[in-house]
Amino acid sequence: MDAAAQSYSAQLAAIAPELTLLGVALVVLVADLWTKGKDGKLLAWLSVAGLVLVGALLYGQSGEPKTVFAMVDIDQFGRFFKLFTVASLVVVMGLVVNDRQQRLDDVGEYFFLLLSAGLGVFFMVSTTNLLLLMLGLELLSLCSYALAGFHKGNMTSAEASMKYVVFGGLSAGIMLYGISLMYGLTGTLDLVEMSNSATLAAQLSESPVPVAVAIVLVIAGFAYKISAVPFHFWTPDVYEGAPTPVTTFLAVASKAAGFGALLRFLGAMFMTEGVNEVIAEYGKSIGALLALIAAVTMTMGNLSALKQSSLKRMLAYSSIAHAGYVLIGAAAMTAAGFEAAMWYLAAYYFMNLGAFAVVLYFEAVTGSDKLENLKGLGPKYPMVSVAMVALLVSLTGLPPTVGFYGKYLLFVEGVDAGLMWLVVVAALNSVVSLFYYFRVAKALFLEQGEDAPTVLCSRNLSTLILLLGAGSVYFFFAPDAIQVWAAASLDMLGG
Amino acid sequence: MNLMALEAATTGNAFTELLGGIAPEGTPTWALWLGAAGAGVGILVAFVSLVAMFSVWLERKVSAHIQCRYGPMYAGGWHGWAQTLADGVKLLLKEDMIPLGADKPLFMLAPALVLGAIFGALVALPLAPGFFFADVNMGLFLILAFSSLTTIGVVMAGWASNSKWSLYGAMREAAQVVAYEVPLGVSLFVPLMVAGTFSLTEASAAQSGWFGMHWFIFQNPFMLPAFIIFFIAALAETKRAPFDLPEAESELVAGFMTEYSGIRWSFFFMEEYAAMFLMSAVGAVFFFGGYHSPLTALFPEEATTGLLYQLVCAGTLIFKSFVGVFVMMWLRWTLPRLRIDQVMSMGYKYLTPLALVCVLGAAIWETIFA
Amino acid sequence: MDDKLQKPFYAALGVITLGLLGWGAASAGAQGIAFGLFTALTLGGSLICVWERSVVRSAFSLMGTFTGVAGLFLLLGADFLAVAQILIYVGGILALILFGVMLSPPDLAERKLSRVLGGLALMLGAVAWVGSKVAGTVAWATTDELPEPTTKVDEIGVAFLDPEGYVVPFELAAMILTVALVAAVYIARRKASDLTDPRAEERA
Repeated sequence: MDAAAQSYSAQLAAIAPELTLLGVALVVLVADLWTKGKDGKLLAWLSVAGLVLVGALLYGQSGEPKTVFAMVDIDQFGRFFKLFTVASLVVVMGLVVNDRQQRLDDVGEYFFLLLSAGLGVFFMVSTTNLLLLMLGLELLSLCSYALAGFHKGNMTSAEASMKYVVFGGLSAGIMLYGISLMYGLTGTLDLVEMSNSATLAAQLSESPVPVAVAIVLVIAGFAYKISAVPFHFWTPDVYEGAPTPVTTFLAVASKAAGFGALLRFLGAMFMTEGVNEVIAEYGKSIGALLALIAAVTMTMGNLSALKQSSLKRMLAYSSIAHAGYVLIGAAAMTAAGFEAAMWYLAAYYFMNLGAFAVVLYFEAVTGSDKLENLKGLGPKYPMVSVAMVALLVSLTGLPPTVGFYGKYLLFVEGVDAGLMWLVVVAALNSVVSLFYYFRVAKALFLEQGEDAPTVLCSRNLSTLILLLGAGSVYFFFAPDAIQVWAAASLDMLGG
Repeated sequence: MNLMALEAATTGNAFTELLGGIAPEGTPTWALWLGAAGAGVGILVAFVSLVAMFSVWLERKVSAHIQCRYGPMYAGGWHGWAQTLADGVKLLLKEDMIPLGADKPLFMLAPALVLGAIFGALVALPLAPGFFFADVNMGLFLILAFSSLTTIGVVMAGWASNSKWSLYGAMREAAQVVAYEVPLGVSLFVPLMVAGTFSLTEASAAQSGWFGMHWFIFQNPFMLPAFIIFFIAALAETKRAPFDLPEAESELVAGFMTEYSGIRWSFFFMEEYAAMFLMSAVGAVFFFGGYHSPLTALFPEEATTGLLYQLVCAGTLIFKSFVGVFVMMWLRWTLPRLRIDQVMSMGYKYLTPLALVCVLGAAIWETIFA
Repeated sequence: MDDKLQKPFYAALGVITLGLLGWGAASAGAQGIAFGLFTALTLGGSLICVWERSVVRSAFSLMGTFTGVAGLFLLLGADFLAVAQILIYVGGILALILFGVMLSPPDLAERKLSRVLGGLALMLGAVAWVGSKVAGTVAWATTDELPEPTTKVDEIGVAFLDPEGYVVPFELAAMILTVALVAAVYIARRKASDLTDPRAEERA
């Protein structure tokens, strides 16, 4: 698209969802001031209404890919991740309102920060410009740091925030260093320009080490966001300490955004049309590196999850493992692999949001997220527990759930890309994961717990959980709905 | 090998030209350059010393008269004019003391850093159209940057002294300066928007009309509040009462300079007065017409290159600056000291938003009327 | 801190500085000296930052690094960037860092020669390896003439607000700052109700 031909207002119209989200965030901030922080419910409704509006705008956006303001790419790929973010933010808002451990006064910042984090995601998944990508990433990170420490009186929450800041700062520094090296090597910040840069190609054929250092450093930044090994250390502590809705946000929206940016990075750098052949060839080595990271990540995640006694911590390790699975699609370095990765992320949306919502539910019931407290709760809370079992089956990757279909796609694409060994590792890992997911189901239904009175919990929350559980089964039977989206999203590759 | 760029950077420097005129044929360029630099530094040091000496004497006189006393009357004869000179000699001859527990290198570095930073800032200050050390395009920006360096020196002094009074003083200084740097810079955006340049010479030149009274302060209604914000923030930046918490003598002995004595101590003193002068001069340049006044407007166009004109200009600016310095002294001997939380809330909650409002208002005003 | 290795370290630093100055003077005259000086400041500051056992000293040494980098910017003709570097990094960020670490005690543990040498060997090895791969292969952009020192502040300002330039990152940065401010105020603000653990309330 010829950017110069677009009028200023047309360019603004193209980023209408972003502008609306920004507006909603600011309105929430001011509304909080106006109501003197007393009306948390109002702010929640305001945020959700705004998000619905943003979602509608996104939905109505034409599929025609174009670049506005010289660096913002409006295309299906970005739309996929933006809608994903909006949808998960809506659920997270729902969780915030139903979080018994959250006071509902003085929470304006909660919503403002969540919405701003969403804005960061919007920009980081819709650009091939490393500067804008970094800024989006930082906006998301800054919001996440504060959100992780939102329960100020709580020491673990403060600890979570602190660890997150330290790790986040380090990885942002590493990534920036990588970006500066890439800029130095090519003289541009735009990935598409980099991908057909003759100097970069010449450099690669001369000696790939400088390029490798730069790209590995940038990938390290992404690895932190998606909590891939060896940048996963923060994950369990932060997930455990942060308020549960925030954990949900970090595990789902933030991680998906990391993947969105990573896929776009890889796609723009190595797979677009017109990419220099030498550079495309070099992409294979990067794919091999990602495959290695994927294998280590899923193994680490699953093995560590085995012996956790806290449900939140267990899910944290499980989310590390899932990052490993998704990385198979990225490591394949094929369009079909990316498509599978995106499909799996959509599946991940249902199963992980659902699982964390269940954690929140039982936290409200038992007052903690310890696994042993779940004993015998299944018959007492049948609806939620059955939904949880469906979600767990999905997380394990067994039919008839989205988790199975997603993994199936990933495995097929992995084998196609010649990553047979990685697929075998992933399959073994799925078996391992069965053990700890099954422990939860066992505790719910097969074990006897102390006889505690049934606590009435929000019906909205259980409805939400049921919906997510149902979704994780429904899309197994209707995979095309997601498939179409994921396939269309590959327009970012210029196809 | 590549002195061209350096020469380009130093052209317009009076010293290089002057030296180039006197020096024998064939003197290497680097020698000229070094000589010019040496002369520049010498003049700068002399200038700062003179300003500080006069200011200290003035301060003592002003405080005395405010309190119905005479102040120093004997040294030198006329109203004790040589009092500071005598004090200086005394301070120079004092024993150089470094506390045993102090961090010696940092303790020694701190006063030098503070004074060096203020010299650096003064480099960008033009006294007259032709009297400047360097006509830096980034003039104002450079001054702000260098004066923020003095903060580090003060914090260094406070920490290296290894005394709790000093440390408290240093912490207050750090907190205070960070809080007031923002309104200081933002309030200066208002005249900067009108001037359209960071350069102090150009900003002064832009105010020459209206018979020497075309001052920025009269240009739009947001200038006056901006100047008031600037002046308050400048007081805080220079650690002057009512913002002299870093050295609050009634609570912290002498704050960050508690452990200092002799010549090192006097460095901090010189810095304080030089900074007062500098901030007043910046205020004069960006709000009160720089070196322009009705007096300079009397000169016909062709006389403006002459030495007399330059001297009158310099005199005007120095006079305006000392008016600012005098007001600062007046405030010091009139107002009680604020508490640290009052200082903080004033900086963050009032001055910063007000400064932003001024910038916004001035931007709108300039868009509509200019 | 009575440290036997302190003197050798600073002696080595001095030698490096002199070497850089000499090398600069030999290769590019006055500008070379300036380059050597700024490089020495940058490198020395960062080395001291890593070396010193007291966090506060490390923080102060960063001043050298920041001003050195500013000087390098200046040599490249980026005067706005240079002054902004001093104003923001030294005047703002360093003051904040100092404010944060000023009360922390030094690490008094004995420095082990073997570890220092090991670290040094590791560092030099890594630098040598990467250097051998990088040197001679990277097409460095070289020039014999430094750019004319001109003011680029106008260009920077226009680029910030140019729709074909950097208006989106610029505005997004504004949003980041707003968020940072809100988040910082939220974290720092203390109310009586904040200090109670909402979870503890729930359990009781």
